[in-house]
Amino acid sequence: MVEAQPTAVLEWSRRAARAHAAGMNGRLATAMTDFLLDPAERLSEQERALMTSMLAALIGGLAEELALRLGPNAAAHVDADVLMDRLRAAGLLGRPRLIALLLRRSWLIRSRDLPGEGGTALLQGFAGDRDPAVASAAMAVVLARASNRDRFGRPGLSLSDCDAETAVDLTYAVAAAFDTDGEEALVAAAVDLLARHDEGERLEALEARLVLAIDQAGRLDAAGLLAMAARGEVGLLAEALARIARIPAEAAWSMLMRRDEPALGQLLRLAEQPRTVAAGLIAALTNRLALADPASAIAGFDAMTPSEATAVRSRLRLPSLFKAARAVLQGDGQHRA
Amino acid sequence: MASTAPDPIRGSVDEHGRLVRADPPLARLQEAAGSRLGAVLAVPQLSDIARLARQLGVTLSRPALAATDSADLDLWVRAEPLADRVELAIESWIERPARGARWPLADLADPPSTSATPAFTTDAELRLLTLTPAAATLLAATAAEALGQPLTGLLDLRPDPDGSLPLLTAVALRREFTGQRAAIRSSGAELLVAGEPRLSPDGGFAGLQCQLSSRDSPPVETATASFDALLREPLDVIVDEAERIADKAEGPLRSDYAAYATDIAGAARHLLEVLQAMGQEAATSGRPERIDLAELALEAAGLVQAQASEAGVTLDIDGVPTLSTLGQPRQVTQILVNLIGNAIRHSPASGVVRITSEAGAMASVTVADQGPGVAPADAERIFERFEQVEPQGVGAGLGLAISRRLAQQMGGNISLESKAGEGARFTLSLPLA
Repeated sequence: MVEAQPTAVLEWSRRAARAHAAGMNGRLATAMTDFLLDPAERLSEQERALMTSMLAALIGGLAEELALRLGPNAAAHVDADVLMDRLRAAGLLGRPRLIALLLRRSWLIRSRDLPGEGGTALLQGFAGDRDPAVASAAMAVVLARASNRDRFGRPGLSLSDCDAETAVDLTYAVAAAFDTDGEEALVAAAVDLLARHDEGERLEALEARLVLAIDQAGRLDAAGLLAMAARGEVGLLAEALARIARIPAEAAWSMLMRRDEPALGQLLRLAEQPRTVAAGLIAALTNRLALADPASAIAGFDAMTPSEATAVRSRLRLPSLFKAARAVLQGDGQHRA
Repeated sequence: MASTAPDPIRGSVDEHGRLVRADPPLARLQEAAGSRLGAVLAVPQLSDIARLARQLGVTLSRPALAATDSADLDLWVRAEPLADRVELAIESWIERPARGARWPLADLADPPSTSATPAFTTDAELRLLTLTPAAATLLAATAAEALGQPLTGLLDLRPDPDGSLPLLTAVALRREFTGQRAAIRSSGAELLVAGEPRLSPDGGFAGLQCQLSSRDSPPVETATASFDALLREPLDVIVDEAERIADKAEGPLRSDYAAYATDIAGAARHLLEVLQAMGQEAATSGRPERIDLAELALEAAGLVQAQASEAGVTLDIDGVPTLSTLGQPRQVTQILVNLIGNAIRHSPASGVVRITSEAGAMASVTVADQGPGVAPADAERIFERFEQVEPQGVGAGLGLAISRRLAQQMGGNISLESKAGEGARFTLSLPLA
């Protein structure tokens, strides 16, 4: 479940649409939109490269799996790059859940390269935990993270990394992009491939299960949260805060990652953390999240009243499709109270 | 403390969204959500996950939130779509104290009946949901035997002389009912059923809550009668004290405060009228008896004479001197008091309200006023509960609705002839004796 479209993508698509509507030619409209995009929202070159690499791996892997099911003749005609171009040109890759996944994975990959990274140490500690449920859940996370790289060590993405909705959408889109006859065979191949999909095997689902096991073991406390923050386990931290705050995990991730310091403070308020713990978490996350103004994070924490927290929590628990539609309508000035 | 992964709590949802199999915790959660095993899965997020799994055709594994009246539930749900069903496996089930106040249940849905009251509730398909011990004794069945059974499996519903079944009419019209004759299938003993519909939050029919009584027993106490007993005394106190304040009986008082007290007394009296009107309806039961309709019309006119005099309206009694009919004297009097009282309220000063008793195919009393009349568009609406043609009019708006129902329960009816600006003629008709 996606909390909201990534801001940069949403804004870019809006501007592009307006530019096209204004009658500008494609190149000029696109350049204008891209050039004027808020630098803070723009993807870094590293992000773009990682996301492109992972997307190519995902599309390519899907194409190979489908081709295997179609027979040797089909495999000879599959060109993953061509497929990707066709899907991009048709707008079939502009799926919020997919882009959100690419963004998240790119961040996780980059964060593991930061100096002093010790996330795996925490995770390995969980894998050896005396609680068998915690240990087995942690081991599953370790294995899932290891499988995210190909044999050359490059970050990858596969169908098993996708939630159910994205998996179904993308599989049928790739199948439809095949330049072969026999639509029934294509659909049958897609159905067969999807029959093996289990979104519970995704890294994010496994991390949620680990946090759940830690919670059931009674250790989802301040010390646990601070350890996650200090060790760079931001994914686990987002899941943990979401559980405590009783909001969707994607919402917690978004509030952590969107470079909005007050939003981080509000997330900690929603998670009902004492001020000292909140301050400790903010301090631990400052470098990891590249917070420009940590003081405004604690200010956001201080400023949120209980009634505001209740209202925000209620809104975050609204259906994501409803919120996404509202966001689009508000952006176009069509919102009415 | 070490923990081991508990076995998942399992359930199956068929292609129609019905929870057809469930481990006990899930079955209890389904019941807490207002449904039951075999009915549509009523836990919203679980239902959404099952539906999505069926639509997508792939296994879902994701968190879900649910709630009971006392706890919030964190669930991790795995939904696997199969050919004809979705298999649910709840792999994590964590209860936490409820966050935030729960919406209170509507008190009227659960009247303060005691185990001594033979009472039961049904679901929307008229299968027994609950049964008091007294009802179980009366029906000669244990709760375990009776619960989940269709009502008609335990009771043989008997139609009225005119062929109607008040219980089914109540189901169709979402109204209270009394005097539904029935025989207990196991013993043949006859009894009466009274009750009212239970409604779902969206106004849909959700079942019945009913009381049983023997045919010769006093009228069954319904929810309205229970409230009558609970509220009448406090309201009497409010009226009494407010009138004392308005009369400045305790000494000097600012005029506006005295006016407030007058308003309070008036509102409390209005509530008492509402209770009285509702209580009249609840009290209807038993067989009709031979009565003199013309004499009751005269009696009703006498009861409202003071009101007529105060309004400057003349009551003109006309028609046959005696009129033998079948009915309940108390209810007939109440109907006539309502009709005549309405006519007085809508009459101009110095106007005349004519009350005419006639014998025709049925025995009838017609109350005619010289007021503004009723527009054709409002002719039926005014008989609906709480509807008033003039929003500012006095009275609870209950009189006409309940009066008509009382009349119908006695085998009669109330009809209206009127045109806007030409007065109104309300006619109470009852079977001739």
